[in-house]
Amino acid sequence: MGKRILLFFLFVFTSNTFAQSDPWQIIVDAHQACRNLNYQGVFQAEHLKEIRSLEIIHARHGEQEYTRINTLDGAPSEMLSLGDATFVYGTNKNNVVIEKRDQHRLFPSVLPNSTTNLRKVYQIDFGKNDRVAGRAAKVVILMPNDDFRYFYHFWLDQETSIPLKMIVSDHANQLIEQTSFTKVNVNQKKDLSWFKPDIDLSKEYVMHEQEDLSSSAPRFWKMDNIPNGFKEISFRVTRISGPNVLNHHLIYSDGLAYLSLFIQPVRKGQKPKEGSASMGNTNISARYIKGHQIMAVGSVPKKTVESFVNSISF
Amino acid sequence: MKDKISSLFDNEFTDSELDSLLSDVTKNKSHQTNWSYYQITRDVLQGNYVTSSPMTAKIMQAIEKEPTQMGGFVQNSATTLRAEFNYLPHVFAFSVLILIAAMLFNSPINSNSVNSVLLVQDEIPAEMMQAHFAHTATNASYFVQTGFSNIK
Repeated sequence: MGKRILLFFLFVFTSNTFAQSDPWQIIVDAHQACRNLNYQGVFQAEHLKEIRSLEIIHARHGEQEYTRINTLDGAPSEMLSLGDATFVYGTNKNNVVIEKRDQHRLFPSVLPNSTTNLRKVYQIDFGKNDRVAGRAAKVVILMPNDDFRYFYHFWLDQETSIPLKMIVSDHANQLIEQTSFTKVNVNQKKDLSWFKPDIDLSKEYVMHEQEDLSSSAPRFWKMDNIPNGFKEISFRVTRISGPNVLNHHLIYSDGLAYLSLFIQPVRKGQKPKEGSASMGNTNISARYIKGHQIMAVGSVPKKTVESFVNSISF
Repeated sequence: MKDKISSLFDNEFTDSELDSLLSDVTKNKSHQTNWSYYQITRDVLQGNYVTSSPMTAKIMQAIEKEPTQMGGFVQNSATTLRAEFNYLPHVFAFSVLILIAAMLFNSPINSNSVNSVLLVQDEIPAEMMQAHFAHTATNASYFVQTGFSNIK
């Protein structure tokens, strides 16, 4: 009897220890922190070859999540999101352009709420402690199991788990993308007076919103042998007004990396494109199949976009 | 009048000329019908058939606000039929021809024999880059861009 009790306590102790020492839990903690805490700060992000500063304010008020991000450099533009409703306000010479977006996955809120898929395609490792924006940070590295995705390095705030810095690098350890807070403040501020667009009221508003026709659009293609871990997370069909054709836009993700696949009819007089190219840290691969232009776009290795355009058949 | 309506849809009118034309259109039912056909033809040619432009809405609103002029038109089947019979087939045939031409011009090609060209950076479609960033970006600097012209 005594041995059974001892085994029971040993089992309970080891189970709890295992649960608490699950290294992937830190990813979920970071996701929750980004969604539930109030914070504001300034971070820098690459834009092609330039570095731009942006300001973020995030608040959890009751059940709702409020976020505002605005550019501090270049042309004024900003994003306001309330739950899943996201609007981007851009300013050009004559107008304020407003676009509705489905949602956003913007830094620092880049980590998924579930690690199930990440565990299949990445390994997790920890670096030495560091400091970012004056705050103590622990370094977490997600290393890909294959060469269809990049390495992700996160500097997570030791106190709150909010990502303070993110670096994406390739297999040759070359920098692909870097985003980092220069100043951040975590607080319990309840005021929401900041949640409004700061735009030029003298300019005319132009609303850009494309109707999604995906519910009535048939899928006339099939995908075989796409890279492991990537799953379709979105499908949109929109009408391109000029040539009056339908554009099919599929989005795939492994939880960290995102890739768009476009399927569009080629019109008479238009020469379809084939091959691969890159723009900044984004790779693009194009293929022509039976009257359709296929194009994959993503901040993923060239091999991945090429694999996607070669996975499609009619 | 048909020329004037056509010019309007080609954006060749000034605001004062537009007001004058609106006044004329609202007084005459045949002009209103012509207006509709030109509107459809223009929309098909420009690929905007599913939407209505603010100008069209303004015009239709103006027409709806003119009950006096509309009341002056005798509403019986004989007049209506005679009035439509004079021009409708011609306008309809013209519209169908333009519609067919537009469809042929825009129709997708369905063949593998087309010569493709190598994708180069300068010819990456801006609208695809914009759509990609708008729905997937983790980098806020790309996400907050609006309009295709912002993609270099």
